[in-house]
Amino acid sequence: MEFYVGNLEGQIAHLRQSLGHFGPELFLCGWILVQLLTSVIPIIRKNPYVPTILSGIGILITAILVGDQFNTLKYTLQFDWFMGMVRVDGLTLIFKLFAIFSAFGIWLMTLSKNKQFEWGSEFYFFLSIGLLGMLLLSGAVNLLMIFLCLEIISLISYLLTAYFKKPKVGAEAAVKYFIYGSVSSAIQLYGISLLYGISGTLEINDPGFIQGLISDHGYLAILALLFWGVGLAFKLVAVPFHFWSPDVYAGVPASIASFLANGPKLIALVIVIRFSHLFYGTPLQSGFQLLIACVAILSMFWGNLGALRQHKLKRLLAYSGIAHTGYWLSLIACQQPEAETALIWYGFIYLLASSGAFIALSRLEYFTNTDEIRLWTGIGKTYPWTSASLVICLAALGGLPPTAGFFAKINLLIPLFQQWQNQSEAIWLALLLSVLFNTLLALYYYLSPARGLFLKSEPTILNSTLTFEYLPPVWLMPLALIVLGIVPLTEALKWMSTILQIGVVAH
Amino acid sequence: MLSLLIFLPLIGLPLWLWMPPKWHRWGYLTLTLLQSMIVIGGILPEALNTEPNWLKWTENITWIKVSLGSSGWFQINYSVGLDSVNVLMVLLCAIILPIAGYASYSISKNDSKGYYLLMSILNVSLYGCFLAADFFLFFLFFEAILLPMYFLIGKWGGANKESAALQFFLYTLAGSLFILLVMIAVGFSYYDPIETARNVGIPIGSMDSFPGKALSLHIQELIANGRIEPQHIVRTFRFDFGHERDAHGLPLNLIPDSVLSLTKTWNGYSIRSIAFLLLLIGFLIKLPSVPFHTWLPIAHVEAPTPISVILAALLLKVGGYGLLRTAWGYFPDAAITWQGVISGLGLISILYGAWCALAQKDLKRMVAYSSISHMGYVLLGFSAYQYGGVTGSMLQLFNHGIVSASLFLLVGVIYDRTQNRDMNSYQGLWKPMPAFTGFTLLAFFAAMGIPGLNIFIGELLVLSGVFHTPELSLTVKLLATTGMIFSAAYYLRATNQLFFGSFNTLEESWKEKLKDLTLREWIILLPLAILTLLLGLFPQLLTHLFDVGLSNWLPQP
Repeated sequence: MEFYVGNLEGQIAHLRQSLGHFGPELFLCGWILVQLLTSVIPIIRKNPYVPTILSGIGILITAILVGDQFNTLKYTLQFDWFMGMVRVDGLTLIFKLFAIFSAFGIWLMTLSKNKQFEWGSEFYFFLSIGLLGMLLLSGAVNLLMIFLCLEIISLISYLLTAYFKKPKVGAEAAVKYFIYGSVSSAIQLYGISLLYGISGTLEINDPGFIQGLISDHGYLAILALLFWGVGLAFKLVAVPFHFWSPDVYAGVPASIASFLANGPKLIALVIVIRFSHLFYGTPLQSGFQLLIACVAILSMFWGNLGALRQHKLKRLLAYSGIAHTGYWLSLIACQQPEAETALIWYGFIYLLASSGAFIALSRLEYFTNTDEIRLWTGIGKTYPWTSASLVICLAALGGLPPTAGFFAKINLLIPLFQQWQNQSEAIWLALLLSVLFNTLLALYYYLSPARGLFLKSEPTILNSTLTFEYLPPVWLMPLALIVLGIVPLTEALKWMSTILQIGVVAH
Repeated sequence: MLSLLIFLPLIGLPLWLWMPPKWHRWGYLTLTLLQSMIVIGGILPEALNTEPNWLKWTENITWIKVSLGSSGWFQINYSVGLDSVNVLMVLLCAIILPIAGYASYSISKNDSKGYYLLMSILNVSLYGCFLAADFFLFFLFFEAILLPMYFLIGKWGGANKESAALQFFLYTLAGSLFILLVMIAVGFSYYDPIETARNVGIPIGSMDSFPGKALSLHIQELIANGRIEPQHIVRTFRFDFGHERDAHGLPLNLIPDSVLSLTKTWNGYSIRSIAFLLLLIGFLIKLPSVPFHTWLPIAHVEAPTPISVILAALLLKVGGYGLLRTAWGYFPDAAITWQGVISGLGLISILYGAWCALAQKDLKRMVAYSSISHMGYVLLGFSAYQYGGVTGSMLQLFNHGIVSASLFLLVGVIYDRTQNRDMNSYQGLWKPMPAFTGFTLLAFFAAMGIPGLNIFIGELLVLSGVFHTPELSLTVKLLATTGMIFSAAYYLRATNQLFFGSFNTLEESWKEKLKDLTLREWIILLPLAILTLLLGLFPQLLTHLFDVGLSNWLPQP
């Protein structure tokens, strides 16, 4: 990595080479400008379809460019670009796909025009910037770069939560989110400065970074890491930094809640994975595993127990999101390559199921002007397809066959079992049993919307009139979940584990 | 052929959406009858001609293969097959499902779309569950039964349908989590001889032929000696490799030094016996056995008649079949360890179920509790792990399916007319409804265990099995025989109340409604009644189907 230090020509050559691995981000930057400029042209401004179509094209081309990066990945030996700021390896690309997919899910949701919330061209502009932040975060390996990306995403999240000023809860949610978010960012920044002070470097893959942390015997390194983790836990919605999510989700429209639940939340996971690689085989490993396992168990229980008493679907999904963070972290605690493959697969299925649930939720919210499950009784009969799609997505989140959630859940249990088998410590058994117990717990509330929608007969919403159910966006995710639940996945899993191994710091 | 049998009702899914509602029932009936024709016309003759020893008509496709890194591979197969353990259950499906489909006439035309959609999925899951030859596939279908059943009870049920459906769902799911845990342990501990041999390059001859005992032994030895590295072992969930047993009665494809090997303990307890206990609890919830039975009466009372029929005749059987296939199949040694506990639970179920039935006024609740009592015999027969006991249990599973189906249909007959199931509301029904009385008495007598009717044979064999097992305590043996007396007590009480005396009902207007059986009620009741008689007189019709294969499966004396 030192070849460009102090050598201007070398640096320029390196930067030029780096740009070649920066295609999707560069394109998206340009496209954001296009979106911004077109939105000020009066004729286009009046046409509501132009921003939607432009945004869709942007996401599509970005996806193609990222897909192209998979091909170049096979031939490269170097992964760090922009002087150690950005890394383009298998993990990065998979998370880039996740980012694009979550943006696509939100874009799908905006296709159904909602009376209450008008999607202006600014919304799509924000969405693209959010996508850019997530793409950058997937590859960020420098503490400052990570912080910058997290801030891009945070700013967009603040803007989006405050975007619809009409419902008062929305404003409240925005203020809450902003205050909590900025405090956690500040703590995280403090953690970064401490980490820099201890190790003398900001690059997390620099051997000096972890060496510096280990050789510092005091509590300072642990404190710094914990401070650093606060910001991540806030984005991941892990206990004890989860409290904001139900209030914020409840205050914003479903599409924006979906952005918070599927975008930043999932992409922040990549940083946790990269950090978990650092601790492998170091004296800090067992402490790290214990900490993550404890957070995982707490998140699972907190999320699922909290969700049991929720009457609003958005709050329910927020709590279910907390529980899912717990499942993810339980796999990170294992620190095995197989657990990582399982994690990525689980994350993908979560993305599908959660986006699908939010899409169906946004449609039902549009039909009935509420997300109170109690008020939805019997509307399964009026809107059978949308309601069935919600039920399928929730069943997938709960891990019921024949949806893909079933295998994802089993695949999650296998590494946990293996871990317990290999080192029979109480914590691994506790982790395994809490995942099992929580699966049961969760199904109670995942079924509660189904109960309301289909089992009770008389509709309580009187002002709901039968409107055309716009099916393609609503049924895309459930169909994908069912197909993935049935087809043989051997090749997909094999491909995923090979891709994940590319460029990963050796275990 | 078996895949066709399982997935045939999926053809119906698009049909129910387009067909006019009045054709739904007939469409569904056609599909289930086609399935029955495949079973009776295609499978049974062959099963009768050749000795149904080990899995037949196997279809085996690698479905998902997960890498475990240094621990080899985790392979999930789509694998189905028919053998002596599941042949009766498949036959029972073939008999009950068309009857339940035909009996669905009381389902309103307005929402019959959803009803037949869910019934089709339930149908697929039931056949799949019984025919699966891979633990994972079995579990998948086992779970897949839950969701359609939840909606069928919860939407088309009685007054407290929602809580009943939820209770059914959560109880079964809690059980299935125990099963899931053991399933993963099983997946880690048993290897696939063919795939492993292929992985390390051992010649196994023709790929289609079933691996012989020699191959399994050879590979087991190689693994034990460390000649096959762990990363080359392909782990499997398939049942059929387990039929070759060693001197301890353990399946030969057990990986030495795995979680489920004989020597492994956890805090001083053998892991095998813990795993067996977990499976036992999981399936006892489904069976159900006291103390896990509380969901059953509630679910039965709330469920509509055809769903009650499927619940009693097929879903409970999944519990019994699952026990024999997995708990006894994988852990025969632990089954002997827990013999006392199992026989105790069986006995308590027999007696407690009967006593509860004695206290019921609601006919459906009474039949539900009598199911618990009858399922106690199944458990008791399994606990006497030898030929007589297990044969008796399997006959009991099949015969109870026939009799409980007709009992629930008969309760449905009254309920359809008056919307009332309280037995004290009726008196002297024999006069206006002689045919109904005849069918009911036949079913009651069969359920009591009167010789010459089908339930008797199963219970007799179970008891003879119990008496031939010296390990079981004398108290169990003596008390088990009293079960028949109690079941006679509550059925005779019901007979007395319903049919004897002068014709009288709680409300005067009901007298008009209580007409004798209609043609369609004849159609659904007659085949079951014929089977009740026929199988009581000629039980060897059933035992022929499975006894040869079963004796290979049991510990040799």
